[in-house]
Amino acid sequence: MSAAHAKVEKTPTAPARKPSGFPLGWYRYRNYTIFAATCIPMGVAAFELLAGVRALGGGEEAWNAWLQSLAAGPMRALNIVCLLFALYFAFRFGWVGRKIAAGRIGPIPKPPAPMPILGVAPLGGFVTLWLILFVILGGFV
Amino acid sequence: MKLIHKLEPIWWMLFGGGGFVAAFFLPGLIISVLLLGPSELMSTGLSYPRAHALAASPVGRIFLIAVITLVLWHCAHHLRHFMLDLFGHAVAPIAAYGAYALALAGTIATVQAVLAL
Amino acid sequence: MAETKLYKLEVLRFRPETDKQPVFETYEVPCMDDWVVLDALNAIKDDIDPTLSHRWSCRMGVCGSCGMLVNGRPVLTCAAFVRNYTGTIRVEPLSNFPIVRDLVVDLESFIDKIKSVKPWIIRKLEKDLSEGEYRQSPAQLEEFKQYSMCINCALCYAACPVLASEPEFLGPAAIALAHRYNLDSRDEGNAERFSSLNAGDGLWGCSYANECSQVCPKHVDPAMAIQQAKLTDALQFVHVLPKKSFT
Repeated sequence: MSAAHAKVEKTPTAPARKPSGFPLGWYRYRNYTIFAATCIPMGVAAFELLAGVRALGGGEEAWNAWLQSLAAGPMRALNIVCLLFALYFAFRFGWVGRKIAAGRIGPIPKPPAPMPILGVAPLGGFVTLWLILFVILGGFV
Repeated sequence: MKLIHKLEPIWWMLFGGGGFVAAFFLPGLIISVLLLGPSELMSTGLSYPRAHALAASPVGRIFLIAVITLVLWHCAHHLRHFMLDLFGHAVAPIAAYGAYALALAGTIATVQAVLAL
Repeated sequence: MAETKLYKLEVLRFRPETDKQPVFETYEVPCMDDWVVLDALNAIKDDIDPTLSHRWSCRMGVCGSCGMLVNGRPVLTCAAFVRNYTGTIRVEPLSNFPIVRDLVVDLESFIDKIKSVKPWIIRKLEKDLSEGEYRQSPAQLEEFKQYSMCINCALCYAACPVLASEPEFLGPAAIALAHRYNLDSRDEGNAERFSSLNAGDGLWGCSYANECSQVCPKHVDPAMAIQQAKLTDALQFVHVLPKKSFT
């Protein structure tokens, strides 16, 4: 090995700086952070549903008690928060998922379109499904 | 962390699958059951005999297991990355093992509860 | 001499021999209307403070060496017109990289990551020269062309929030480049790249902030490459797809 290849001592550096405006200072990072945070309320909602299934297995009284517990003020507030985050999740996931669904894409695409435009289209499909679920669960047919 | 890293494709597929399921069904379930469940509107639909019949049917059982467990795995994976964003590289093992352990416990509990219907 | 307007530039300085940590220094620079931030930096170096250090070369968005943060956003300074900014213009070195001096960052980790994905065409058996070139149809070229537009400016690394907490993450440009060669009909190196994409955090650190694609001056869309690479990789992991499925 020649002298030119000898290990060069590293110059002193200042530590790397975090991206400016992360996690909440700048709107695009903020949108991303809210998306990441959806995991907590959505996980809570899933555990609530799990509690519901357990109550359903526990007989009529347990089921009715569980339904009544949902009517309490704090639970109602919690579930509204869960809903808002789940809606935001569906909204952004519709925008995110398109890149996976696009598969191996050929032509040079235009720069990524802003979120609202692409998020809305899948949301229409999602809303239809939520309504169907509502009709089935409510026994309206 | 070696095992966690080795299985990364699995975590990601559970995350993606859970994401789809969550976007498709979760807001609908939150509205119909968690928010409107106790109301007059759903009193027949979610009355015990009907709710039990719906949930205990083969389709109902598969639906419940799929939605609850996949959403849990989705949230666990997302939580793991969220913790990294907030607290940095040092929490990587705790975030990964903690989040996935939670999802695993939830999965076992869900399967148990659904089979007990 | 055309008319000039006075702009205030706040530049992050770091002189390792005197500064303990980076500090901002303000300069008032007379700029012409068609100047870009890079012109203003060069004017500082030429006329105001010759000790200012920054990288640049082509001045036309091809070489990828003048990437910096302008008002917090990673941009090529040769494409950032001063007239588009109001008030003080803040210029900082790229985030997520150690600072060597002033606006010059240490790109070694970036270069190492690029190298680790073997960004060249790998053949099991090289064809003999007499057999002619490797042929490729326009359709096959279109498969990966977008991802080959990368100029290695590292703006995507500066924008990525994952790299801030997980320095081991391979990062947008390297993954997009790996995906570019995996998609190339002439390449047979997918299995080799599979192992570097899956080493440690590798490809999987990405949590989809999509900022890499937003800041990319060449519209490479690394976020798309990462998602597609993940999908392909995951399907290969569970043996739904064979390791070389692109020919």
